[in-house]
Amino acid sequence: MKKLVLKLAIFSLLISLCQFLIVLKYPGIPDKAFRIRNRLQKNADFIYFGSSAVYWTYPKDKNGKTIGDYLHDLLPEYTIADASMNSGKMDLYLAAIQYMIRTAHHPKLVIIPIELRSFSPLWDRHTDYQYDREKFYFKHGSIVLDMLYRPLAIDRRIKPSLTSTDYRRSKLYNGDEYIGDVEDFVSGPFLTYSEEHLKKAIEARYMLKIPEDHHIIKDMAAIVRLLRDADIPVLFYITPIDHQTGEQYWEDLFDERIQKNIHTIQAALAKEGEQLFNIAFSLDQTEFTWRQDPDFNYMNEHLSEPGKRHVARLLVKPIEEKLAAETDRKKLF
Amino acid sequence: MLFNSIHFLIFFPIVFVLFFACPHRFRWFLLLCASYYFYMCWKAEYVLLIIASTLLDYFMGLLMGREPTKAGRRKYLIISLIGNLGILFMFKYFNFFNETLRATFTHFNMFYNVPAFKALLPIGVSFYTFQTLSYSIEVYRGNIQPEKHVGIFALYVAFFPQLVAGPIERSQNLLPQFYKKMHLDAGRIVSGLQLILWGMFKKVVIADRLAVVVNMVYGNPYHYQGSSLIIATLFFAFQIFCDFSGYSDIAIGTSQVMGFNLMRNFNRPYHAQSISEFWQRWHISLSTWFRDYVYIPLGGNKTTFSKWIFCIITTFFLSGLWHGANWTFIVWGMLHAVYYLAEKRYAGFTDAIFKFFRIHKIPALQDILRILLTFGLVCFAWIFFRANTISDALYISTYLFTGLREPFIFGNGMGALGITFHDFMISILLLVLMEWVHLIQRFGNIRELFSKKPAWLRWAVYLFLTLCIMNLHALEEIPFIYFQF
Repeated sequence: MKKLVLKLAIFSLLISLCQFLIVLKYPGIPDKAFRIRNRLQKNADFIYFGSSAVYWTYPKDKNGKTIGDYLHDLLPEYTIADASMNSGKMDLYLAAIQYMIRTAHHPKLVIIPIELRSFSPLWDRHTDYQYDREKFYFKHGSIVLDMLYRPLAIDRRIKPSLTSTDYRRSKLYNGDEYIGDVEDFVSGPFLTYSEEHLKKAIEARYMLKIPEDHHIIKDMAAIVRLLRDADIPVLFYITPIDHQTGEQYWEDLFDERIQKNIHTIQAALAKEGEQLFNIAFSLDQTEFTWRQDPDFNYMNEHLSEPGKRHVARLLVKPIEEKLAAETDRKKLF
Repeated sequence: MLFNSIHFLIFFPIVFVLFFACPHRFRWFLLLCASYYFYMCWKAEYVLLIIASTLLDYFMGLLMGREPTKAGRRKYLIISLIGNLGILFMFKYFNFFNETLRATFTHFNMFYNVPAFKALLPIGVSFYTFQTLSYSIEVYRGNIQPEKHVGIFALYVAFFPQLVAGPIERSQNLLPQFYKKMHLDAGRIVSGLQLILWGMFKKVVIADRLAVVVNMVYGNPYHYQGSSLIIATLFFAFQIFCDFSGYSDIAIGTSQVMGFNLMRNFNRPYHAQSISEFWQRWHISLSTWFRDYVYIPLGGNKTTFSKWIFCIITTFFLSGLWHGANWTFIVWGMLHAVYYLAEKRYAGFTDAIFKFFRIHKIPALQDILRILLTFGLVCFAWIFFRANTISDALYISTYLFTGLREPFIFGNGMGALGITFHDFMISILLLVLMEWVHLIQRFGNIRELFSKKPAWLRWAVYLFLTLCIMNLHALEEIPFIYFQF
């Protein structure tokens, strides 16, 4: 028996060693956390969070550049770590920023786009976009966790915060008016394009009324406080939306609802002493690609090459102002 | 408590150490407490059902033991059957029959208002109910003496390695082992650990990876056709095998580490050359249960042709129903009944085809074709087993061979299956690896062959399997399929 115990001990050591070597090559952390962590470790001047609206490359694009790349072309003296990913969420950015500060990465600026569509339960409560594992990693991330993350995941201790039933039964509103559950908008006829469904898809994604105490707004406020304490400036901006299409289907009500929602976000940030850069209505319909993109049958914020370049140009001024203000502030103290 | 949990990783070594540290006369008590704890981790109050079932069969067994004739014992057997099947019916089948009646009454515009029975299905209820029933029937038949020790009997019903998903043990095999004094035996422990490792690999690495595709496609089959449906169905065939046989291997291995031998539950079922052979290789503890307690008592082979057909249909109907209270399981069982009957009735038909094409001169090819034919039929039946509703299953069966030209490997096709091409290829490689192991098993006992290999090779295999379990498992929560039965 002693021989067996000894063999088991040696086997455990061997397993630990192999696992260590494996995670050196293939870190055992969730994909999106891995991607963000890699970007943070570049020690770039700017960390640019965001969703596919930042990086999406339409098949007809020639160069596949992201907004971050265009921004770098305009501000070549700064390095930019593009930490954007599909379906980014504010709570994930918050967790990543906490990790960033804990691991002593101090960029000159953090850029966070806010997508109005992300407030809709269609996005906000989507089971694939809860990032429970990623948030867990950012909270506890270390080399030990790198080694043990995958083995521990067998145990499913990191339970999903939402089930697909929760998601499908989430309620959707146009202002205060209930318009149906998520499942009414993600199956059957909504899988194919039609004018009628497009109108309803816009309604479900943009026409909601964002409450002041929405958890995304709370996360924004937490980010502001966290970065302020760490002396890192942050630039929040509202991503451009295809407002012309929205107006086409919902007329003035579309603009009215969007303006109100932007105002809610603006007011919440103002309470924290932070400004919101609003470029929601700055782009033309032709600068969005969703109508030509076969992968999408609903309105979204994916941009063409000129659209992405346009956004980069618009961002230059507020970025320079932020950096100048930070320099002034540092001089003052 | 799941076998693939940190909880079990802590629980089992503690039980193991205490078991061998404990004097023999107290070991049954330790195992009984451990077994009840194991079960109560899921839902504590449902342990009362196990205790109720245990006490009922214990006392009925004692009472039957006092009766010298079968006729005298019959009433106690009936009480045991009513009690056990009553629990099973209430928790598993009541709502199904209730809803079926409601639909029927509604169809004829008749009033029907029996409320649903709102309770969770107790995990493993079908397994331990069948286990205790086999005890009562064996005592009734006079094949075994009733167990006098209530604690040992309770342990027989609740023995934790096989409590929730089998193998469904016979009292003749398991009860005497609880009286035997077990000693620490390094060889047996290694052998048990090997089985646990292999079972865990099949469950965590293979079954759970395949489940991602299966759940995606079967969750909404109307989005798919042709190759996607075929892939998902083939994956499900291997998923359910790896899931269930993996669980059985862990159960058998866990018992073996402590010195107990449980019956073999699977024997390379997809290498069967006929449906009857498939049932001798798949879920052996259940199929032999139905053979001994349903098929043979109904008349078995030794009866008229029409009654034999009735026996087969009844047995497969009950087997389908045992798996779940849903028409999909019943259709699955009936499909197997049809296969079985057709196979027996037209036994010479395939031989004639092989002769016609002169395949009979190449026995290996003939074997392969028989295996493929059997596997195809089994897979077709799995569609009904896995589909959520009969209409889903009918859709899948209808569109199985539609749009086969559409590429599924590249472009959006693979994404629509919920995995990347890389993950898909890993799954295929894992299946090839498993079937390679099964192929070796055809030519002898793989564990004996393996033990003769050099130590470095055995260690390399252990390392490989452990690292795969640690790193290649799916990240989604995939419970053991057979828990629901």
